[in-house]
This record gives sequence, C-alpha cells and structure tokens, in this order.
Amino acid sequence: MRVLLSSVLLSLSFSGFTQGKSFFKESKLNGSLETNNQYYLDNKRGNILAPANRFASNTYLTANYQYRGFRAGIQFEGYNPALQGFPTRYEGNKLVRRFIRYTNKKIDVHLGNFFEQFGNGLIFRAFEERSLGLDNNIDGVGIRFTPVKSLKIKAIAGRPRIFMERSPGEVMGGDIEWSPLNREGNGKTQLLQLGASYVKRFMRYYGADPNFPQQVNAFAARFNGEYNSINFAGEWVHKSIEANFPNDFIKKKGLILFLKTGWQDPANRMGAQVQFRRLENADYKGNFNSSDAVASINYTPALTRQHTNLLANIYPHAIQPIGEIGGMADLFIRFKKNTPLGGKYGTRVDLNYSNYHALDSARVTTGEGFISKKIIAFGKTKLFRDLNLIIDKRWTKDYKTLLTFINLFYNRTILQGGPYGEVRATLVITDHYIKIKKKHQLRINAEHMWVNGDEQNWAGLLTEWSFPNGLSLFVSDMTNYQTYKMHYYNIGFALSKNKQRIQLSAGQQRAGLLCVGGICRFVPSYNGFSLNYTLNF
Amino acid sequence: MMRSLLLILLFSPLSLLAQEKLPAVVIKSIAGKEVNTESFQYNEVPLVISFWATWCKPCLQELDAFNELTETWKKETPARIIAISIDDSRTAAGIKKTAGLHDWSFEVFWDQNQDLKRALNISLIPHTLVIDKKGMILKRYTAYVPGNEDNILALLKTL
Repeated sequence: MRVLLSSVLLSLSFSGFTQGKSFFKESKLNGSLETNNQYYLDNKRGNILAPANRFASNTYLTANYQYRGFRAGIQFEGYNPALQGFPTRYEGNKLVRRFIRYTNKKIDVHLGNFFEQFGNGLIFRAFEERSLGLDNNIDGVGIRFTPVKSLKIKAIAGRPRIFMERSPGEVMGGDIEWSPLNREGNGKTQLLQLGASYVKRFMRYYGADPNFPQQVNAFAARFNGEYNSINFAGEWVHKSIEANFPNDFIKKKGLILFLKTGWQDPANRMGAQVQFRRLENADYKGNFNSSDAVASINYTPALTRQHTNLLANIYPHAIQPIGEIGGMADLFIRFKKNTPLGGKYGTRVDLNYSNYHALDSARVTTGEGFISKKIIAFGKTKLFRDLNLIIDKRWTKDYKTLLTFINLFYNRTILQGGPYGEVRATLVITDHYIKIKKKHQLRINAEHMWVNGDEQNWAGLLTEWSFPNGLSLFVSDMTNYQTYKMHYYNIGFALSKNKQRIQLSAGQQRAGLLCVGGICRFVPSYNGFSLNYTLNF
Repeated sequence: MMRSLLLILLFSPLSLLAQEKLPAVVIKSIAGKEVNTESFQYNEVPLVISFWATWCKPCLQELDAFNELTETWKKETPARIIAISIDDSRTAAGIKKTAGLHDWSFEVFWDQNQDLKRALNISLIPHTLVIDKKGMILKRYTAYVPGNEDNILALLKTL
C-alpha cells in the first residue's frame, strides 16, 4: 500500500510539472499544525506529583493537496511523550495517515487511511477526536458510489488504527441508503431515507477455546425522515456473538435500538424532541483484546446534555455498552421580543431531561453472562439522570445572562467502578456577558454545586476579558470547599490572529471541557504550565 | 520519518503557487438531505462559513452576532452566511433545536462525520471562513472575537 501511494503521489506531481502553468493554477494545498505542550509541577498539598518526564508534547501536522478530482494527504503525529490524560501507548513520532482519493459525481474512492460512518455510527464509525486521543481511521479501501441521486452505496475494507499501530483485526463492510422522498425548500421538508449496513470483523484467535468467535457479523437497518415540522429516525443493530476484553469475554450477541422523534414549530417559537436508546453488548471492537475506547469501530456516545461549564462536567454520564436503557427529552420555548415574558430582546428557555438504567436482566451461568428477555424494560439499577433548565436572556444591548439549573443523579459505583456509592447534586450556574466598550467583552461565570455524597459541595468562578485585537485574558477557579479543599485554578491568555492561535496558561486542571479564549476543548488533568499553538496554512 | 519529510517537501513548493479553495465535500442539511459544498457557489456571491457545535458557547455567540446583523448586512452585501455544525451523533439532535431556539435566519448544515472540517484542516471551533465569489478562501478566523463581525462586513464590502 505504501509503495502504491508513493508512486501515485509522485506520478501525479511529476505529470503536473510537465503540464505546466494550468497544473499549478488548479493545484490547491492546505494544512495545519497543532502543538499542545505541558510542563508539570508537583503539588504536594494536593498529592499530585509530576510525572518522571516533566515536559509532554502532542504535535499534529497535516497537509492536504488537491488537483481537480484528486486529493492526497498526510498526517504526522508526535508524542514526546503524550500529555497527561492521554493513553501512554501514544508515543514517538510517526506518519499515521496518508491517503489518495479520487472523487467525481458518481464515485468516490479512498486508498490509504480514511474516515467513514454508516448511518448514525452505531454499527460503524471511523473518526478522529484529537482532544480525546481518539482516531480509529481505517487503513485500506473505501468506496462511495452514487448510481442515481436517490441511492448511495458505501463499501470499506481495511484495518482500524489503534494508538500508533494497526489493529490485528480486519474490518469489512457495506452500506446502502435509499432516499425515496427528498424534497426540501420554501420552508417545507418531505424527506425519507431508508438504509441498511453490514460490518464484519475478523481477528485470529490463538487461545485454547475452540469456539471463540474470531469473526463477528453485524447488521443494521435504519430510517430517517422529516415531514414538515415533524422529524423521526430509528436504527436497529444486531451483532453476532462477540467476546472481548471489556465484556469479560462473555459470548453474547449484541443489540442496539435507537429511536428519535421531534416536532418544531415552523416559526421557531417552540420545539420538543424525544430520543430512546437500548444497548446490549454494544461495544464493537476492532481488537478483541483491547479495553480502550480507541479500539472500538462503532460509536455509542452518551445521549445526555453536553455541558460546557466548570462544575457540571464533574459527573458526566459514562455509557454502559454491556447493558443500558434510557433516553433524553428536550423542550424549548422562545418568547419573542416585545412580549411580557420576552422583554425587549426576547427570552429563550431550554429544558432537557435524560434518564438511564441498567437492563432488566438476570445472570446466567452459561457463557452469555446474563440474559435480558424484554426489549423495552428498565432494570432496577439507576445509572444516571439529569434535569437541565437554561434561561437565556438579554437585558440590554450590552448585557446578557444565561441562568442554568441542573439536578442530577450519578451512580458512581457503576459509572466509575468501585465502592463509591451514589451522588445527588444540584447546580446553579450564572453566566454574564458584559460589553464594556466597543469590542471589549467581560464574561463572568459563577457556579455552585450542592453535592450529597462524594466530595460534597463545590464552587467555581471564571472571568474572561476579550479585547478587539484577538487577545483574551482568563482566570478561573473551582474548589470543593468542604472536603479536600482543593483549588483547581487556571490563569492565562489566548491570542488569535487570522490563521494562528496561541494560548498559554498555568494552573491545576481537572479533566473536562473548558471553553475560554473563544474556543472549547477537552483538557486532561495536570498541574503546571500549558502552551498550545495552532496554525492553518 | 524520511518518508514523511519527503512527502512534506513534495507538497511544500505547491503552497507558494496555489490559493486555497473551498473543497467539494458532501455534507447534509439539518433534515439529512445531502448537499455538495460546490452548490454554495451557484449564484456567485461571497460566503461567510462558520463552523460551530451545539456545545460551543463562543460559536453560538458569534452566530447570534451574525443573526442580529443579517438585515444590516443584506443592505450592504449580497454575501450568504452559512453555519456548518460539526456535532456528532451525541449532540446532533440538538442542531435543529439550537437553530430554532436562536431563530437563526441563515442556512444551517451538518458535517456529519467532519469530512469538510478535515478537508479544511480545522482543529478548533469556532472557525470562520470568508470566501470570494469564485470559491477562494480569503480569510480564516480561528476564534470568536466580540465585534469581529464588523471586520468581516468590511471585508465583504470590498468583494
């Protein structure tokens, strides 16, 4: 494959040189450099000791080249060593992605490393989420074929990436999607899509069990539609017996059921949505010996509200792919301007609720581990529940607030694995956006979390000042003031200028999603200094 | 290592000779209908394309700022504003809700598996592009700076 790719790249380039000026005119190149560096310090009071390598660095260099329908690209990664919070198997420097691709109106062929998704990703998703250290791109062949506008066929074959290597497991599959109804425009939508997928994983087993399932077959069927203001979608996935490290090598079939429906007023005054999902042995591994999430070839994320505040991310739902049932409901109301509840600028009210339980199941002594006879039945064990109410209100031209109320239940014993007990928490968060003068903005985020159990109550504060030249200064602190009395503070600046961005900060960081300096990103836990730089070229 | 350096060297001289164009990538409407980004250029007007996600507060702030200025912009430039969500299936159900809750008057699309984001080498959001009538990317903004919409409008008026 490497020889083939190099040959094609070289021949493409040299043929271009011989064609002269038009080649250069039509050649497009872009790329990016991202480097995240940290220097760790000890914090003896908090019992946080710096790792042996006090300096850590993750660097990503990508370049994409395009000439008419041809595209080629590379991605180089360096972990010297990997940042705290990233799996240690990300190590060294390597060209981790190289591809060539040809696209026209009917066909799209990918050779080398590529990303792809079938349906909602429940049966197959190859994707990259750098901030979390996830990249399971497939090294092989990917084809998309569109014989007629209403029909799309995809096929993939290759080995998924796991850390810096390729999985010993091979993945092969196909997906077909038919759109018998495809009308959209003038405020009206009538859409219906029907799809089916098949994904096979084969990985040789060298152990003593003669019945070990080396080959796993998964099938999926789905629908997605919208009829004016009503939308609906669903997907069903069946997987043959898969035994893997995270499921303790039980020999169990897999099942995923996903349903969604919603309604939205065409004038956007109101909308509601409900999602339901059931997982049973749902983690589909590219390597049955790997426990890490990076080894999965399907994607079953937590269907809960994704929080962007300091404290709300302390108790996020961790899905239980072995068995989980639940869903999420959303309701929004937008009060228009110049109404009693809307005021001069309007008011937005957003209500969200999610609830997840273990399956209604019984343990068995056969290799299956457990059985769950009823498809739609909630088990007695509660896993996670949260209720979120957000009121977004602009008071004057220069002042806006976001008021958030959260009440949650978190089964820490199961979600984190250990004798921790259950946590009940209530949060009140106020976000203030204040325009000080033209193009200067002050943001103040004040939070408090009342916790029943675990580390008890928390308080948090973030302030950020944005300047018109792209500079922003920020300082934040969150502390569990009743138990450990630890302060997780962060102070620094970010500067964005066109295609470049640099951020320098110091502090003690809890893992979570942090939104400052105009961007949001996930950060791992550390104590020390952090320097991030990105460049697009 | 040598192989990667060779590839970088192979690509690098071309960057001096080529401008960056919006790549042709298939994305989706909020409802799920496929749309090729080539079609954005059908009426040859400048574009402002903003990459966002439902969980990204600065993105929402930027798009709200665009939304508030839509009527003013219409009088001064024929440019289209396009918001492209990079939400994955965890939060994708919130795209339509967020667009409705904020009552955005511009078009909203969904880059379902982040193919367009990757083709443009975008690593962080918000990320906003200003594109001329021929599809060439003139400017990239890699963060939201309050008031930047004035700079974008000034640039659009020159196109």
